[in-house]
Amino acid sequence: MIRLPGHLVNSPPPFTASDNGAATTDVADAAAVLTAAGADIDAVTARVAAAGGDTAMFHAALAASARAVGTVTAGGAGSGSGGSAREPVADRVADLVAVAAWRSGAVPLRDDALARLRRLAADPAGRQVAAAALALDDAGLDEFVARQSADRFWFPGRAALRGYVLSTGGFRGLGGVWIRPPEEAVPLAEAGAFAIRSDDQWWRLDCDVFGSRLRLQTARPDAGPSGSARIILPPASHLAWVYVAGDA
Amino acid sequence: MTDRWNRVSVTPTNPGQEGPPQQITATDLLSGSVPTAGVALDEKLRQAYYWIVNRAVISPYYDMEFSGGRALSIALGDADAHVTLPAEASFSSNVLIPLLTFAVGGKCLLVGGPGRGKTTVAVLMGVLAGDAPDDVRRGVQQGQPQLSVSDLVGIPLPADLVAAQRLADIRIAWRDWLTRPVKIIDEYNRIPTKTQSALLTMVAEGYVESHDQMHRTSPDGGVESWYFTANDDAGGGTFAVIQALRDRMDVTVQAAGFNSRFFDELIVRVEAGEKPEEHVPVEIVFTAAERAAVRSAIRAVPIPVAVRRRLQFFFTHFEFVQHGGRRFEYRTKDVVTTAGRSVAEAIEANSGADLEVDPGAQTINGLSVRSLQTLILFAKAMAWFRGERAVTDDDVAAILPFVLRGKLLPNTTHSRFEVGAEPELLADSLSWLADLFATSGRIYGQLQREKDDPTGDLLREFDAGLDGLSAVEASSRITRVESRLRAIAVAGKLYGRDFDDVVALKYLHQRYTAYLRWVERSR
Repeated sequence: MIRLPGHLVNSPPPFTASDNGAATTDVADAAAVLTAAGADIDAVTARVAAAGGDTAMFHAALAASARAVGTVTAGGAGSGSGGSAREPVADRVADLVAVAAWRSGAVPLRDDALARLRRLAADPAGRQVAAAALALDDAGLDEFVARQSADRFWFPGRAALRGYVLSTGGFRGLGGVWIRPPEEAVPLAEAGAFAIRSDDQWWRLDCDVFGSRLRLQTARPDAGPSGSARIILPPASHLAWVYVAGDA
Repeated sequence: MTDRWNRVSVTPTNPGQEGPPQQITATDLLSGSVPTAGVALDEKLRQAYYWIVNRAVISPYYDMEFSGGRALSIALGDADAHVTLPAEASFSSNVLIPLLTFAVGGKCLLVGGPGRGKTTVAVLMGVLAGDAPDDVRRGVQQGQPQLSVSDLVGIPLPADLVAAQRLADIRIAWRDWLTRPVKIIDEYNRIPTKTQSALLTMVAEGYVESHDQMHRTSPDGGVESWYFTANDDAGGGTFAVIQALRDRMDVTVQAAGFNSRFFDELIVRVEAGEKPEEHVPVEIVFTAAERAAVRSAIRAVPIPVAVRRRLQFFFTHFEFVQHGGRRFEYRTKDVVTTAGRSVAEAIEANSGADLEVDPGAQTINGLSVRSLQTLILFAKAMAWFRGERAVTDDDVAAILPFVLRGKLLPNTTHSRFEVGAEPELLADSLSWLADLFATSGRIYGQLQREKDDPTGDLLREFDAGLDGLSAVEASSRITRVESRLRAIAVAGKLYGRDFDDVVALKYLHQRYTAYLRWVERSR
């Protein structure tokens, strides 16, 4: 089987249709959340896409958090049956949008989403919503937020995958970006940033656990200090892997 | 199910040197300001181009080639055909030319047989400008022999017609399409001559008039683009296209035929009943402010001196014809044409030049100032689109045939078009124009004009100004001008470049002698 680029945190898919009985209700439930803030779902979705997020996952994450709100307001954890979303508290909409967009892979939302997650995690009602948007269970939310503050590539289950986080690039003929396998990679000064060379072209990778962005550069970027995360280039492969050493 | 249309290139279409993605907040997502990675406007235009060629219009042609001299050419068959594989990113003219017209706010003529996507491309441009697909299609003006001026622009309100005591009291119900940012005229060569004149006023002046009422059609500070379609660009049709309107077309592009290897995609579209203009991603739609910013950015692209000199040299070839008149300044093709005589015969009668090497002998007209201005603007647009910091010779070479098509006309009696495979160039005017520009470049190199340009030196000396110039120095310069004229005189053969030089030298002579008279009177 030909492996395509992707984030291992999304394998298996974090939000499935069986969670809500019908995938098409994701968009409706997500729209209900945004309507509470006077926002238009098409416009917000387009901006999430422009920021690098996957729109289907954005809808699914937002819908999951909206249903978690519905579950909470219906009488407590576990009392909901995954039914239709209740209208969330209006001032929480921005929190949900930030977390859902980041979860969908929009790397530019990382800082804002993490700041909101720290606040949500301290609130009993908010933490259920946040966990739902991240497709985590409530018990794992605190560890996730704490680990993310120091390690942008951490997610539960990374240890089971021996430290591999994501693959990027791919063969251009199959929808990827490289004609030849990448041959060289160096870390850059910014967190989560790497430079990768394929043939005589340098590319800049900016990534974290949920999202990544690959940009063609005109010249080799200046290298930075090495960290725990590095790029692994398997021989004869068009994929470049982000790997974090030290996971048991 | 994913939307197979809604996939804009997420990796940039041109390399840059970027930093990390700029962090944004949920407020930015909800409020509408998303400075994500700062998608520059030229990158947005490139994304629009690639979306159109990869998703909307099945156009596997790459006839606008960029190679930097490293192209691979493969001979095909035994009829002197060859295919060129360019080394750099190259483009499909039937998409890029309309897109550049959209960017600069120009006028584009799309020609080609029926059903080749001319109107589809134009409608896509309308959707890129932010109009809904249905509105764009409703706004397309269909040329037909009974199309009157009122049909085109609007009618006077009947109540006002009855009650008005004077023309100024009549209000006109102007048609909506008049103020759209993208205006589309289908089959413009089927429009009656009188209506063509009303159209000309809109295209040329940006307003329309009816019953003494004027209505501005070009948006204030905004950018409007015009798209015309026709089945041919010979100027014929149900009604002959008036020359002034034909001359207003900034660029002319051929609609490409369908490549059968992409038949499967066509079947999918028929089965799904899909139209590309209904699936334009919102990320590549331009606001009015963005279009104005694009046009400003294009105008700001510099043209380096070396590129200017080559282009300037190309312009010199075409106006002069030795036996066009008696007075030297009247020895032009325009004088011959306006006198109703044959330019080809005047060219043929010239025994004072080598007609085989003279590019000017291959044309029956010269270049208008309007076409020169258009060429400058579109060369800048080409460079801007490619992400270049300045206009290059390659940009000029790529865009020139589309700008000059239908404006610089071939002298069909020239012996060049009788030899070997050269008659092909009478049908393929784009290749002929590209060859003219390349020939001009070779002559420029042979004459070493970059290093040896005495007339240019004299003009630059004059451009430095006359402040404080003494009478002695002025006289000295007059002598140098006269010497330069005599040097041209002894060369024997006269070409277009010499005509322009002689006229310029006469201009210098006049300016210096006027200055000398002033200096001497001031004593």
